[in-house]
Amino acid sequence: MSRLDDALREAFRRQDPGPEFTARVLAAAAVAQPKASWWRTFASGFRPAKFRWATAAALACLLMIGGSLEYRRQQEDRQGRMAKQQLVLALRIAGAKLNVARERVQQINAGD
Amino acid sequence: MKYALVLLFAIGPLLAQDVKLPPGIEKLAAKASEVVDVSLDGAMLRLAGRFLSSNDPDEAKAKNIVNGLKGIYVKSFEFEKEGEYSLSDLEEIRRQLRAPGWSRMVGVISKKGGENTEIYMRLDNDRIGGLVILAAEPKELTVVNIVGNISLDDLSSLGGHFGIPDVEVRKDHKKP
Amino acid sequence: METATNAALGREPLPDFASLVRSHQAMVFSIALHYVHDRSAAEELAQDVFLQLHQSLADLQSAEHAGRWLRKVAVHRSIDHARRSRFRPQVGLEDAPEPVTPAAAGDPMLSERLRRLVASLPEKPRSVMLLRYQEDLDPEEIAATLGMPVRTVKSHLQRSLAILREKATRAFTPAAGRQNLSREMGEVENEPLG
Repeated sequence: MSRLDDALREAFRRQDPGPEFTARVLAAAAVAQPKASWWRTFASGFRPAKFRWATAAALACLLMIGGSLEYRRQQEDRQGRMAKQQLVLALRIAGAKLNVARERVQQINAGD
Repeated sequence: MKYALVLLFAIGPLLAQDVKLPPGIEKLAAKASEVVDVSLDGAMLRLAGRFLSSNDPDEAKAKNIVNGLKGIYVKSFEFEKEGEYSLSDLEEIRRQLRAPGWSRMVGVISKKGGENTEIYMRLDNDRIGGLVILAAEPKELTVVNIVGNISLDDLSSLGGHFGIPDVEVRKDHKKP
Repeated sequence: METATNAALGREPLPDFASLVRSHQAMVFSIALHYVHDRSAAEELAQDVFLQLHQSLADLQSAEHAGRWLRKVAVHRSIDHARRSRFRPQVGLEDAPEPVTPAAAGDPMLSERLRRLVASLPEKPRSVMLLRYQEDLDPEEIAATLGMPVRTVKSHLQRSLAILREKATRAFTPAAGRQNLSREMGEVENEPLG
């Protein structure tokens, strides 16, 4: 049945999560990079003639703090999302069990 | 026939008495092939609520339900075969729900599917202050405990959302 | 890396990570969404898939390879996630009530109904249907993605479509639906909630 096929393709058309999702993924990937790679990236710009230890140390601290704050934010986000998933699951279970009871009551009443 | 138990607990915010899971129920986790264990107190519910979007119809509905709640606790056990738990454990929970303040609203038995569902409510000043749903199936036991103010209509209206089939019953609905 | 080989085989070279994300985020997110039924959880799951991709880029050889890899990982991660937080609908597909209102193809209500009907399928047929109608894969590609025999894929497709066809038939026959509509709506209205 081509109409059913068409309807199913329409129903399962892809949805794009949007540019915010892209940005989050790229940010998460950047934070998840091994430390050696960002250090390597940092060191690749090293020019002995212009190197300032204090500046380098400050930059390194800022990168680490920024990365740490981002990681913490992502952890909190993750906990919140997990709590939300648990909540949705609990509500689904409760709602579905109530619906079963409701259906049975309706069937019983319909049979009266 | 052995039944899977689904226990839903709802505990009123004003009356101190809690409905506790008997030890026999907790031990069922060891025999279950699948266990769902949700424990969300007030703080976790508020955290979860922050991540519910008002722009999404499903999530907006959930946000509305959660606003008055102090806790949601769910335990669901799925077993490979029948007979893995005892009806006497269910009786221990029913005994607690016979305490003052609790009322048994609904009790339905489906001999065909082997599922028993009981719904208990606790009223606080004419509002539902808690909800317990006991559902027993041959291979599944579920306990849901909802603490706080909740509307049954709101909760059952979740049918059609979050992947819960919306059950519309017609008089001539029969299994093929 | 394999530039010469890719060129010889007519394959596109492996794009950078950001390009892969932009190209495939709709696919990965939509696969996840159909399993978890929650946008935030689907985004979380999709993000995990892409982070896994980020760690595995060295193992991928071409753009096509990356696409296949993402699809496979997205499906398997979604299945695992759904199993961990599984709650089966109380109404199996065979027992799902038939729609009481006929709807034209392209109707968002019909789309939602079809998604729910497919969501109530067991795991394997549901995955087959998703890959067929969202990803437009043929049975051989579905079999390769899910790791099942082609004949099993075809069997799942045939059976699932037969059941869906039976449930959705009234939605595609407006005349028949209208004949029954007023009676059906009356029956529903006469059954107040208990």
